[in-house]
Amino acid sequence: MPADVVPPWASPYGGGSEKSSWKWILVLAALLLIGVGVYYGFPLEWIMVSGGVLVGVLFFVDASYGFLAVAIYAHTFDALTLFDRSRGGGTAIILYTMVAAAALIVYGWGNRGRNAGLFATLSVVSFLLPAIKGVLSRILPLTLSVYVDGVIVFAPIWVIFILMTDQRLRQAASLYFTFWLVIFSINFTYVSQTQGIGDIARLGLTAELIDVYQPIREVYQRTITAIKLLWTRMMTSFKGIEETIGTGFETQIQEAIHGEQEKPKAFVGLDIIGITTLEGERILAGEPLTLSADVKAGVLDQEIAANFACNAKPDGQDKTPIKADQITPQESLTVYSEWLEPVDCLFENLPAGDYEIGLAAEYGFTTKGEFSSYAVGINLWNALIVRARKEGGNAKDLFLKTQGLSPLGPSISTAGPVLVALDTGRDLLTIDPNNPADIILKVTVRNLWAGMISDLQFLTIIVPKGFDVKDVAGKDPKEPVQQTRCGDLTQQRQVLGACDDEKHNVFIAQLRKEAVGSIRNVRVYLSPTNPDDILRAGLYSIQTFKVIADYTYKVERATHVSVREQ
Amino acid sequence: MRQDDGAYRSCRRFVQQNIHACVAHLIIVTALVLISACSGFTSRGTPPVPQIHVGTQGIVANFVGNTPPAQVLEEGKFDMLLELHNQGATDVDDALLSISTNPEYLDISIPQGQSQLRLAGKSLNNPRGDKTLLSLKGFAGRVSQKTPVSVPITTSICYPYATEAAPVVCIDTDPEGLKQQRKACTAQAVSLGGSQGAPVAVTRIEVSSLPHDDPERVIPNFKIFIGNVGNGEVIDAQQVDSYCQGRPDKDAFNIVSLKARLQESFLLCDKQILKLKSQDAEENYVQCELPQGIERRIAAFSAPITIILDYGYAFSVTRQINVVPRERS
Repeated sequence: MPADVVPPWASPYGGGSEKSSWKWILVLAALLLIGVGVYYGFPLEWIMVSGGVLVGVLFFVDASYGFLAVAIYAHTFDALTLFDRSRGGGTAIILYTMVAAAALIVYGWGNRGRNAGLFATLSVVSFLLPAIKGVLSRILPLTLSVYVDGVIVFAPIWVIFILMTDQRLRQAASLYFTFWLVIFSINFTYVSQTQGIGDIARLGLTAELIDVYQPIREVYQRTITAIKLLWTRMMTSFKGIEETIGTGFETQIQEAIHGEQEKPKAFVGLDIIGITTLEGERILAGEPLTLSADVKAGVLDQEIAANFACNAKPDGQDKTPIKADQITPQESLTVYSEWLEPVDCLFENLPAGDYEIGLAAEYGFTTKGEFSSYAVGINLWNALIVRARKEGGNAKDLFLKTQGLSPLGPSISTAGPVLVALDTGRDLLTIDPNNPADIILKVTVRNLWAGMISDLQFLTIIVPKGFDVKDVAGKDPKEPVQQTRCGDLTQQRQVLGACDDEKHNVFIAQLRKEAVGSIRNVRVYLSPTNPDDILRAGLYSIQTFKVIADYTYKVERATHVSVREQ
Repeated sequence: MRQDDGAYRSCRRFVQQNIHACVAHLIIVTALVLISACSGFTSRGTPPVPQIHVGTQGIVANFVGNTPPAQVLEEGKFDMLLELHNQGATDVDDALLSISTNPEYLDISIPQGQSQLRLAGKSLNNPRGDKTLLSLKGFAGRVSQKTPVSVPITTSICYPYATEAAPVVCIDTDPEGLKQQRKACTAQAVSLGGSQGAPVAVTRIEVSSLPHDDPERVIPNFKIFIGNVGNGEVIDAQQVDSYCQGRPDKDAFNIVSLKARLQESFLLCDKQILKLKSQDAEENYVQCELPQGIERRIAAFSAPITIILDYGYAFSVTRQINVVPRERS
């Protein structure tokens, strides 16, 4: 290290090396914020902001590794959001810049300006990358713009790292560079494997890349298989977090992009109304207590067979609820649309105390979501991209305009207490007959009614001929995704799915048992095994995907009663 | 009786007052009838020559009447009548018809042997161009929800086509105006208006004369503007079939090849293949010249320039059909 260079944390102007307890208190506070967010299933933004606070504090504790933490933080959210920077990464980058700017203020004054300046430059370059890339893509000839990503992303950052005179910062930078290299490779593989070459071109790497890319694609894919395995393992661990904390966020983003999913219009499901105790709110110990309510079903295609349970929960956390001595009806009750059915629970001898007396109705239900998307051959899509680049606008709008078509809109869901929404997250499906890439069908199961989804058992996935279901993220790992025939489905699912073996492939995935809360997202990995079946002999085709969710739904209502000693 | 006399007198007065106007009207109407009746003939009484190279369309597809129906019951059959009309001036031997829809809800097939079509263009013997009517059978699938499903049906026809434009242009052999003689014509831009019996048209030609190596000659130069004036897509003539089957190359759009000649001499153009850049014809031009030039001693003269454009063209027509679920118990 040159003699005139002093690390920031040794600077008399900065506070980087000072071991003061407040910094560690802040670190602990940030960790606590993250923990609370994870535990209570807060949205992903909560975790991001908490993480930003954490890495910001780490920056002050130790500038070099704080910087590394910022970088890892930003790219972790890239990974969690599948490298979609419009979702998590954008915020991450803004926080990244803010933290670096803070470092400039703290460390950058006085005679320690160089590293601070480098931080600032790095931050600005990182923040402005999309804009710089966009400008260069327009200015440069198409062939050159292939290299824009590499030149813009790697070169400035790496030059800045090299310029850093401090040894520890350079170590951190090297680690970061390695990390970034892995991320870039995985990102590129992910995009190429799941979205096809056409979408790579759409991402800004130009259609000319396709010509360059084709010959090396096979070799590249073999090399990358190992990275893909690593990616799968990484994502398996991430997915646990994502499904817990990221579901609400993902849905909000989906709604922001695609508009709010269509919801069932009328009251749906089963409700408990008029819950009351016949003997009033106060009774004497030893007297019987009757809880009475009516059960009503909304307008539904399906009749509901509900089971009931009554409990008297004594006030106080640790006390065990007391079950009712008698419930009428004893057996499961079939409730038809718009009917009112009385339900009574008898408690013969409640001890003295204050109780919350509840009636719970639990029933199995089935909801279907359906989603259609235009499918075009990759060549037509590339031709549209090339044309859109020259004429302005985007390829999807051009496709719709030239064919006189309208967007197909969001998915639709059958009436029920739960919404099943589907989306592929893509403008339209591009199918490469020579090298069909996987398609991810995102399935969102969302609670719409006042109860809760107590058990989401399995998904029946009905896809057009030409597609196979490769995997389902969130399935029970012991249970493979079973292919079945339309005729083997239950009658209810046959009706909902309108299934036909000539047209469809049908798969059933047993889901992992876990608390659903208000929403659960499941990714279905589709493989286009027969592109000719999909594309047919026309300019385009429309592919319709259906997912039927079987679940148990629970509605609970309660009232209070006070039992006094005689 | 008096009342009758009064009516007679007033009627007579009216006729007397208006007789001259009535006669004048009668003469004008008769003259108009005669003029309109004779306008279909030349002064020699021969029928008019049909306008062949007029119009901005090639083959146009249209669903006839109320077909397909706006709605059809699930698991029901329906008919579609598709009219294909070659409204341009080029004969087409191998047009390809394709249908795109949602196979989940609609099953429509083109009868065997009817996806490849032959339609003659307008000619002296066939002044309206060939027209054919295809009857297509459709079947609606099952709908699993209670609400109707809207499904698009797109019929596309792809075909190779050509445009032939032969406007008269003025070749000025003395652009500098050195000769002391009156010119027979003035070199100026010729606007063609885009109606040449084809969906791709030569919209304008700018004429100029450039110096030749030989000072005794000038090189006529033509800036030929081309535009897509039809309602479809210009595609590479080599990719007509692959486009309609959804499998074109990435450079399939907006490819037009061009040949031009001045009288019997072929012109040398800066590009044989023009890639149309946008709908704005101002951006789409080819520069052609007669390399051997024309002697300056010849006075300015008018001559036809023949421009032939070859390309593929695709025309799509889309209709929405509602598949309505049946009542289920």
